[in-house]
Amino acid sequence: MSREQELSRVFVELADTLVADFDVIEFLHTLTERCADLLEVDAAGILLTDQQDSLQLVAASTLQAKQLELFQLQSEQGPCLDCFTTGEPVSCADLTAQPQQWPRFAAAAAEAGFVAVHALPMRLRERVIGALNLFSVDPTGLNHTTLALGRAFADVATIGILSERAAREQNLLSQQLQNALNTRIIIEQAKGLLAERRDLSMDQAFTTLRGYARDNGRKLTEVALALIDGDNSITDLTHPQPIR
Amino acid sequence: MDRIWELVTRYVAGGTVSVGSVCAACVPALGLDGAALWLAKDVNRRLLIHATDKISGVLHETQFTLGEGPCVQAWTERVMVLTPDLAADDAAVRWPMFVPEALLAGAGAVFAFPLQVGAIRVGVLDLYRKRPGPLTPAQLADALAFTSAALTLVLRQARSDTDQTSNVEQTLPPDGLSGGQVEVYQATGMVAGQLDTGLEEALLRLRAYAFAHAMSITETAQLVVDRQLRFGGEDDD
Repeated sequence: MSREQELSRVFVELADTLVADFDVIEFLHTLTERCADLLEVDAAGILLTDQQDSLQLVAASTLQAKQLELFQLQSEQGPCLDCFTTGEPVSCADLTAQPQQWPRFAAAAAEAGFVAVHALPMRLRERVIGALNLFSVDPTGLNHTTLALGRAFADVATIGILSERAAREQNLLSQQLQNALNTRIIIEQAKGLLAERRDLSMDQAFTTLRGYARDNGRKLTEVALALIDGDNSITDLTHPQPIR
Repeated sequence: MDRIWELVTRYVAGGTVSVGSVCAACVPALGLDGAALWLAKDVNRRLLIHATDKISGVLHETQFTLGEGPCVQAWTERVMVLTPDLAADDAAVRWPMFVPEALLAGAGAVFAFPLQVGAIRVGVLDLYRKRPGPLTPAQLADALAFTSAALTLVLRQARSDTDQTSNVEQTLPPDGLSGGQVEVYQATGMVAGQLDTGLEEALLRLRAYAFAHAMSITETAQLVVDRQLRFGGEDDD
């Protein structure tokens, strides 16, 4: 398959998930993975703002990207924060170059194995609702085509979070954002519960939860809530049958 | 958030800050006409904690008598429900029985905010205004902050009824509940698994442990996530 064919396949896949009753966190995770596959970067992450304008991590394609995103939020410094604040793309093709714009971030990125970072704003007209961040292990700039594609991904992510209705009204936008963040918390709680029940790491717990939802054609959030509520329909998730 | 506590403290003028006073303080702060706050285990077992005026009380009763309305929806769907104009068509389609009653009672706009942390739900803050119209972004942000303040108090009160204090600073250490403290959410799930209990109970146990050991809830949660601390038998501390 050519890159173009592959791209159109991915956009169709993402569009397909944008039905009325879709799972926002699952969607954003898929999106970060597709970004990493198709944009010639090694990882991607998405930060989203809440009503109080504080940023939260909602999805990341790898553990390293997740840790680096969290580091930025904690240290309140880094290209993704700058991108969110200014609403403009921020790119650094080589974090090891001098002078260092974000010294603490550069050190953390090096530890996570990343050398280049690109942050693209997720915008709805004048309001910036988050940022799509791309990480590379090699020094790389983004060429014009890749940048345009990255922006398309950022737009798709924005559309995924907001319904068409929300785009028309400020308060509906806030409702959707708040809802996405609460959904994220539900999934964290379910991860903890599953990690405990099956003695898994948090990342294994997430993969298991997500795999289970996919295999059974159910929404990620629905599975998470069923797990928390001790719903009998998912006993095979908490007590998997041994393979015979 | 600090500003919200300041508003609540000023409102009670030296008295005890309670969930009810948060509910009462938000009405003048937001420039609305009334508020009701109720706590619940499920939608049928609820307790009205405070209603600032007669109309708020009527709106609350009506919704639960009829089993429909913004605050019932806020609870069941775990989302805030903003209805800037009850007289507009879509409101009557959503709640055909509630809307005429609410209009008759004198409400023009109703806004319902669930008190929740992920899957943990403890109640709903229900606000109304006589005149229709949306909340401004600033009002919405404040309404969410008041909701979060009420939630913090509910979780704190449940922890220990003996821990009575009117000092807001003492009552409300930063605990990361509204922040991005992922480990707190994960640890809540883990402790629920360890104790075979609900998330709300698990969060209370985490907070109680943190309090008893003079640690922050984030530090405590980190120990749990790192599997250095377990909540198991009777005496886990």
